[in-house]
Order: sequence, then structure tokens, then C-alpha cells
Amino acid sequence: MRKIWIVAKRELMTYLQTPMAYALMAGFLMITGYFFSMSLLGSRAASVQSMLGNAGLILVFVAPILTMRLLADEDRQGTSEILFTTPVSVGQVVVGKFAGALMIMTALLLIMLVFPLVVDQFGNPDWGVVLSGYFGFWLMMTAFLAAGVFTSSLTDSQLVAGVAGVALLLLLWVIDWAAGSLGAPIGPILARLSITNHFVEFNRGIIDTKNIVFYLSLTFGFLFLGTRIVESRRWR
Amino acid sequence: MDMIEVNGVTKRYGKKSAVDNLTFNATKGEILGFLGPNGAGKTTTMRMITGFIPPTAGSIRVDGIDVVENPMAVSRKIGYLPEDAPLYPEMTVADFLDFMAEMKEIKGKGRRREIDRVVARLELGPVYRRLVGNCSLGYRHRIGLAQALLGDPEILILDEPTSGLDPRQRLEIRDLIRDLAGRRTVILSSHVLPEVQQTCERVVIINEGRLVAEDTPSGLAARLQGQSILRIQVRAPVEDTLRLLEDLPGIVAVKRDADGRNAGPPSFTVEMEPNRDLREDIFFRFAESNLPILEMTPVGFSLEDIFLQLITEDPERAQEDRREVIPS
Repeated sequence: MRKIWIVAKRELMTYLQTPMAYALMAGFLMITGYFFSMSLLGSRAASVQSMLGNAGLILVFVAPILTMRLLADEDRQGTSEILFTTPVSVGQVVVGKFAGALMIMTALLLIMLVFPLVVDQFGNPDWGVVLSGYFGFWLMMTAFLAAGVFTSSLTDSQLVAGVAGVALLLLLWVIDWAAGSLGAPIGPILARLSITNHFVEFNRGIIDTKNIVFYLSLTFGFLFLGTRIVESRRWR
Repeated sequence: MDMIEVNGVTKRYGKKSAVDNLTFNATKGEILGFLGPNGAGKTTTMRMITGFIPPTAGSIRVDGIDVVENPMAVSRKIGYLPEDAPLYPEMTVADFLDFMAEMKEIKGKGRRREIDRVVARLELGPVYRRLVGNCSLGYRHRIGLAQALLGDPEILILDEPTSGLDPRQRLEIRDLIRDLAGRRTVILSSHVLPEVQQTCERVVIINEGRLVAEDTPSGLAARLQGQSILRIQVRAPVEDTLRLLEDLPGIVAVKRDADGRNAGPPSFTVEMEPNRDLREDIFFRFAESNLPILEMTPVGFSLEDIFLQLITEDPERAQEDRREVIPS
């Protein structure tokens, strides 16, 4: 646990000391702010549902760009050699790096609470729905970041890792489109795999354990795969 | 006691062997030089000893612990400077050393002390607050070395510790390594031979992943002393000297040295048959002819000569090497 924290702390420091994370956060807040204003002006409803729903698509691009550096750069710079020859396991490094990225994104999500607070000044948003939506968004973000860490383990090029991450998340985003035309048994399975379907329920104010389990298992699955791949790269 | 035992280790990448059935050891407190041309398998071997990559076959034990079975325990004993000293460029030197010390489980007040110690030892004071990426190559190399020394590990594996340094820095690193002799076990690799000659008590030479020789620097020299070479300077006409020398039984070749180093009578390089000392015969022969010998010096082999000779000993392989050089 201590090692995970040391690794996470270093990643957090790197994010805070380099411009990339700031640029991503600023861009993300700008676009979500635009979504928020537009939906507010359009519907005049005291809700952030539409903003959160759209923000998910932006997250498809932002999460892999934030994580693409994490494992790919260790290999490119050769620093994996000093890192992995200290008493640390590959799993600890992978989880630590993921945790660093998650901390930054969690901070971003907390900043995004400004939107419902603004609504609260002028109307009466349903805070239960708002918080359920934010919780669901946080879970989805966790899975996206884990997917980004996974693609970062595949290559020593940041760019390839980033592009692969976006492609993977986009595919999971649209995978249920095929569900209707394919029918049973493949169709329902694809619908279940869709990363959006599970979020929609949170955004309506429904916290269902099966949706929590979905995102958590996706997160564990990607982190496990990432660990295995980093290990196998050295065994080759 | 053997601190590091490398036993029949092979590392294959696909079909190509980077290291082929390599066996050697390093005893406690020894400074072992690991020598070979570029691409000989030095880095691969060092990576296997540190547990960074596993061997395809064979076993490596560090202080009696198998590297593959218990990499964590081994990594606690080893300080490692990889080739080209990879570092995190976006961190400050202070943050980087603190991070590495934390990773190496140096806790509490001891961590501050350890960092101060290596910073002082490697004179990193001037760049302590600077970003690693903005430091000069010489500093970066020393930061890498500082990182390896953190926690005063029992074993240091240093891959080309002096490459990219200027002569003064090289001297300092050499002193630092010699300071560790007796207390710590050090394996350092190099393709700069005087380096190894001056710091190491024992040398392991590998070429194309195979062990070529293993001995003390002087032992290696003695092994090849068989073919003795003399440098000789005589106040006599060149033709007379050549005639007198070439007539002498046991002499293989006589070559006139290029003039220039010192004016005066010409000097010659004389190659004698293996294991024969002809210095007395040469003396009397010239004395009989009333020709004074001004200088007669046995030419010792430098490690460089030995090295070149060892890795080209196999004439067939030497041939192959040459063929590879010529583009087809």
C-alpha cells in the first residue's frame, strides 16, 4: 500500500508540474461549461443531467490523453529499469500510476460541482439525482482511466497509447449500436458491455449495484491486463 | 564467500543468443570489471543480475538468493546504475532522489541523511533544485550514480559508470568506486579498458555472449606474456642491428620503429618466441660487436592488447567479423 502511494504521489506531482494536465482540465471545464450553459438556456430546467451525459463523450478523449504517458514513457525513457529494480511489484506500479491519474480527475470532478451549485442559486435542483449522476460519472471515469493505463502498457509510444485508448473507449461507447441488429444471444451481451448504458441509470438518480459492479470489474480487469502486459514485456 | 553467482546463464531473444551459457562469480567486497566490446551481452547480463529481465536458462544467485524466485529480496541488496543513466527529466534532483529513497524503503530521518550524503559525495549541490532534464550529461550521470548509492547497498551494479564524463569526473568516479573496495561488492562494465585496469581487482571478459577470460588484470597480462616483445635502441647502423638481431635464434621478427618520438639512434621492436627470454643473448651479441645498447625494455601488454587478442583469437570468427564490416 505504501509503495502504491509513493508511485501515485510522484505521478500526481508530475501532473501538477507539467502543463499537460492543466491544459486537459481547462479544456474539459470549458467544453462542459459550454454544455452546461447551453442546456440551461435551452431547457431552463434546474438539472445537470444533459451536461454530464455529454461530458462522458469528452472523457473518452481526455482520459486516454491523461494516462497515455504513464507506462509508455517509463519504457521509452528507460526509467522502468531503475523503477522495477527497486523493491516494488509491477502491480503496485500500475495501480499507483492509475491512482495518480484518478486523483487528478477526481479533483476535476469536484471542480465540476460548481455547475449544480450555480443551478442551486437560482432554482431547486434534485441533489439526489445530481450526486448520483456525479458518482456514476466518477465510476465511469475510473474505468476509462484504467483502460488508458492498459493501452499505455501496450507500447512505448505515448501517441500510440493515446490513440489506442481513444479507439478502445469509442468502441465500448458505441458497441450497443450493433445490439439491435444482431439479436440474441450476441445482442444483449453487447448491450451490457456498453459503457454508456450503465451510466444513464446513475444520471437518472438510480444507484444500482450491478452498475457499480460493472465499472469496478472493468477497472480491475484493465489494471490486471496492464500489469500482465508490463510483466510479459520483460519476459520476452 | 560468493556474493554473486552467475551459473550457466543464457538469454535468448527469439533465435539470437545475447548471452550464451555464461558462468562467473563475484566474491564479497570485490570490484569486478565486466569487459567486452559493444553488443557483447554486458548490459543483458547486468539486467539479469538485477532481476530486471529473467534468464532463458541457468540461474543467478545474489547473496545466496535466487533472483527469479525472490526478486524483491534481491532488489533490496542492489544499487543499480543502468546504461545511459535513465532518469525522470520532469522532476527536480531533490524530488527525484527523495522518490528513489522512498522506493528503496529508506524511512524517516535516515532518508534526509542518505540524500545529503550522496549529494555531497557526488557534488550535486549546485543542481539540487534544478530539473533533472536541464542538467548537463555529466551531472545526469552522477545523479544516476547517486540514486544507485542511496541506502548504501551491499552490491552495486554499474553499467558503464564513466561513459559521457570528462577526464576529471572520471577520476572522481574511479576514486569513489575504489573507496567501496572491501566493503561493498561492485560489478562495473566498461569498454574503456584503462578504466577497468585501474579500478578492478578481477576482470571478466565476454564476447558475443560467451566468457572469453576471467582473471586479475596482471594475471591476464602474464597469461599472454608468452610472446615477449622488447623495445631496443642501439647506437649502430640500422643494417648492422637488423642483421645481428635476425641471425639470433629464437627471434621471430624485428621491426624498425617509426622515428619521431625521440631523435637519436633508431629503435626497434623485437618479437621473440613464446616463453624465451633472449635479453642476455642480445646483450652479449652486441657487446661482442662493440655496439652499445642504449635501451632495452620489455614491452608489457596493456589490457587493450590482451582484450583485442582474446576476442580475435578465433581466426575464423575474426574473418567473419571482417566480412561483416564490408558492406555487400
